[in-house]
Amino acid sequence: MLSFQKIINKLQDFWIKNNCVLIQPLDMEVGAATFHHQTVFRALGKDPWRAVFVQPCRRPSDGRYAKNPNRLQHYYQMQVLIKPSPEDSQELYIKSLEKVGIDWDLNDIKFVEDDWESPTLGAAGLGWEVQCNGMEISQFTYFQQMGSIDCDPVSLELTYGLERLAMFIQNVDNIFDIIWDDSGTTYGDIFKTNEEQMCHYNFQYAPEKYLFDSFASLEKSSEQLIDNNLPLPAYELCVKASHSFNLLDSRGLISAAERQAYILRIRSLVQKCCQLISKKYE
Amino acid sequence: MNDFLLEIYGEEIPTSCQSLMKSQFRLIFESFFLKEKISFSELEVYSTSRRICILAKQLLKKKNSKKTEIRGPRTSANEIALDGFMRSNNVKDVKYLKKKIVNGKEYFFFHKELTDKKIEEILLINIPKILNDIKWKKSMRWSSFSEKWIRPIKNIFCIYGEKTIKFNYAGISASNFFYGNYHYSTNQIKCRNVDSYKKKLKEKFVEIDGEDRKKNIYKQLDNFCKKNNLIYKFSDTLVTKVSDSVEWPNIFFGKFDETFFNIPDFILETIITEKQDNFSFRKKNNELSNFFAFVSNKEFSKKDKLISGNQNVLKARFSDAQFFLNEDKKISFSERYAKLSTIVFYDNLGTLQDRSERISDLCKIISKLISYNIGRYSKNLVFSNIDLTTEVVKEFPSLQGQVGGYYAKLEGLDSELCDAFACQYKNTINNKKINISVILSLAQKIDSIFGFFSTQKKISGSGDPFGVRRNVLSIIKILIENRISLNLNILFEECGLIYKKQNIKERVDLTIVFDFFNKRTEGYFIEEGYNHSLVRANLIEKIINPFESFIKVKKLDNFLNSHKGKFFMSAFKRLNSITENSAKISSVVESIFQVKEEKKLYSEIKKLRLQIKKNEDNDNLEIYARIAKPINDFLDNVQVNVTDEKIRKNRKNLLLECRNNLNSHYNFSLLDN
Repeated sequence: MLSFQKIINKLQDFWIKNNCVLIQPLDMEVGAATFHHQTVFRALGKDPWRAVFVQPCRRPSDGRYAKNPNRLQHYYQMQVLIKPSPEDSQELYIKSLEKVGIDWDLNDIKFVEDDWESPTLGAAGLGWEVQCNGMEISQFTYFQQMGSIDCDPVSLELTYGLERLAMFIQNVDNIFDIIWDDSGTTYGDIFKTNEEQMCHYNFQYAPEKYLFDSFASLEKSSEQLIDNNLPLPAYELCVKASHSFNLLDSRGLISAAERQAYILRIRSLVQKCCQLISKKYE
Repeated sequence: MNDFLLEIYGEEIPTSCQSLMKSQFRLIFESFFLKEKISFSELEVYSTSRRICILAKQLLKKKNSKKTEIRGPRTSANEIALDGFMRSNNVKDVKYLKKKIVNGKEYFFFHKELTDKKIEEILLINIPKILNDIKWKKSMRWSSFSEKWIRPIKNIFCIYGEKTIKFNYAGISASNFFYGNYHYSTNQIKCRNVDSYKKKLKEKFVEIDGEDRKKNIYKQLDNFCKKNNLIYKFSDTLVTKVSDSVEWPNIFFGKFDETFFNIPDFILETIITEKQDNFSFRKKNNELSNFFAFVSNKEFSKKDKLISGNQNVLKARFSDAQFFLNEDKKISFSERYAKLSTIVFYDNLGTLQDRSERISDLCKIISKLISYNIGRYSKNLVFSNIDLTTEVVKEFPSLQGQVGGYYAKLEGLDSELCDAFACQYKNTINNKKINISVILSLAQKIDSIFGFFSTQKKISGSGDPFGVRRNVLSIIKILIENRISLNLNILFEECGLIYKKQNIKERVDLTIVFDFFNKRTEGYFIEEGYNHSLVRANLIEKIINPFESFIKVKKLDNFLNSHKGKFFMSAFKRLNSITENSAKISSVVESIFQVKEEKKLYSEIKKLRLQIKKNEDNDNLEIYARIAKPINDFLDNVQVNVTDEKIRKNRKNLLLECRNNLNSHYNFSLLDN
């Protein structure tokens, strides 16, 4: 059986052989691999780019105190970004699945309409969620906009939900039963306690005042950095603000109608960062 | 057999845009052929998950030969000039030229025959342009190409008869081959006409006709139902969606564990049909069955892995729902209600608890306005929003309301109130009688609308976070369909007072709200088939009461279509044309009336004025019928432009007064076109 770590290795090897740079995760809390500045900023400008990386992601609201077999507040995505998108995007992706034992002929692999959007990043793309025998295992997106700027050329972004993929490959129906390595260490051995404790923090203890204040102060600092033409650090503060917002959301302190306003505040900053980066490419 | 075949083949085309695209393709090609005077015997447009194609049988171009006369050098010119002229027109011998005298000088002329462009040339030039002009609902760019299409294109097959139309589009050169279902093979296929195209596709597991794919799915579903004594209730839209997601539908059946039946049916069905695009079944006694079906693009000799995979997905989704339900049940109603006070509804609009209280207060005000006894429900109305704190709603936002109703039932609340919680967000509630569902739905939407206008935000094409457009239309529909006369001006004013009571500074300009309502009401009537000016003629009052407006429109429509109404309108039109550009009115002086027609007309005006002033029986249109004759009598028998200035002015004022009074309840001038 392919262990979780082998799945990662095989996919990375495949993409390295297909001329991708193996980069390392962003050392900050992000809700999705797309937030890596090697994705956000590389999607802009004309220069070609090919990269693969694993990114730990945090979505505080998705936590279930380790009691739900399919949900985590912390999980892993593997992302591939190729600019310009290659002619044989789908074929490459299908070949990559074969490397981890998902045979095209024996499984029902479907590309189901799912236009991707990150309102926070002002990013939008068209593509599909990829389902294997009904289970979503990847997101397949052609970026059209980033930071509200049109992408030209267009990048292909592939995102593998590594836990989902492993559950499918290993035929387990509980995330915590995923086999991590050949000695039999499970995902639960490594992460269960972490999940439990982080959920308590995310849902009950994340400090309300601190989060509201930090959101406001990060926003302000980011603006100052933008004024000083420093889009990279300014963007990092947006990422931090975004995580504060996610925690406020998981604490249930923001209503559905108000969420939009917070998202727009981050988006307008990210947009400015992207504009500054774009100018540098010109 | 000169058939034309164009197939654009590419990565998976979303199901949501296929039907619109097919009709656009048809329209564009039909008008293109018409413009180019190309006829065809049949034109078909099809789509699958991977291709869209247009097939036209027996293209023919109407012959349209013309001759044109080209003037050459003078006959006296040297040979070099003549040679040049002959070369440029491809004339081999001077005998093919004619001589003609123009303005006293003799010239060579060549009679050139203009032949039409061949069909293949026309196609070659125009197809890339057509493809460029096609607008998908959401199109995209890919790689470094500037062209847009729904998804990246992989192959373009384009033939006319035996010829390949070799144009280029989005980096692809059109070719004379196409592909079958990529789940089965990747070989290139060739054909020469429409019939063989369809046949060859079928051999390669592509059913090009969406209707046939649907029939196939229905047939397999019917057989299954017959065998297992089941029925299905899902919409045809779901079948269309599923059939457009494949090229070759193969249906598979699975089962879920019966222990999941402790989850309410509406959640199970939402997961099966909305989340997974699978089909659900019911037993003959209407109980949900644990069978489900799904469709794949290919046949499988070993189905076990496929079916168990899909079963596992449902199991995971149901387990999620089960988990959420269990978690939700741990928190009591009163705890949830308290939790609402920690969630901000919107900047400066208070918390969700504030909103719940406002909705409850509004229910009471509406009940009072329409004389409905809300007594037994009033205590628990504040719980209408508590499902917003539940995990199930966070997971399935489309079930907001329904979940509230379900939990309220578990809490033992009055069942009518539970139903009201469940359907409060629905666009229409057609009970034919007033009940708490109708009232709660109105209250919930009124608060939303008032709240939105208080934020001073503008509604844009995509920016309508409060769903104001939908809510306003829903209120109009609910009021009219349930025959509820409700003065919305009073209600919105009361709404303002409730906000004040909560110390929320509201900054609503009610005239903007009313304008918005008027526009939507107008739209609703027009959709119901009433003439635009008739509707506008009715909406001159500042009181927003959609049901009363509806009655008014209906009555006026009936009146205008009656004999009396037509008679009145013809009199009004005469009056209107005479008074159209008249100066501002001053009072009519009765004492200087000269003739009986003046007196009669004025006395009818006074009656009308009184009726409108008292606001009694305004929809009794008899008075308009009665005034028609005095108007005609006056216009037939009384001269306005007399020499005596006082009398002349007075008569003009009388007519103006008459028109203005007639226009004060309905604006008949708007109907005079």
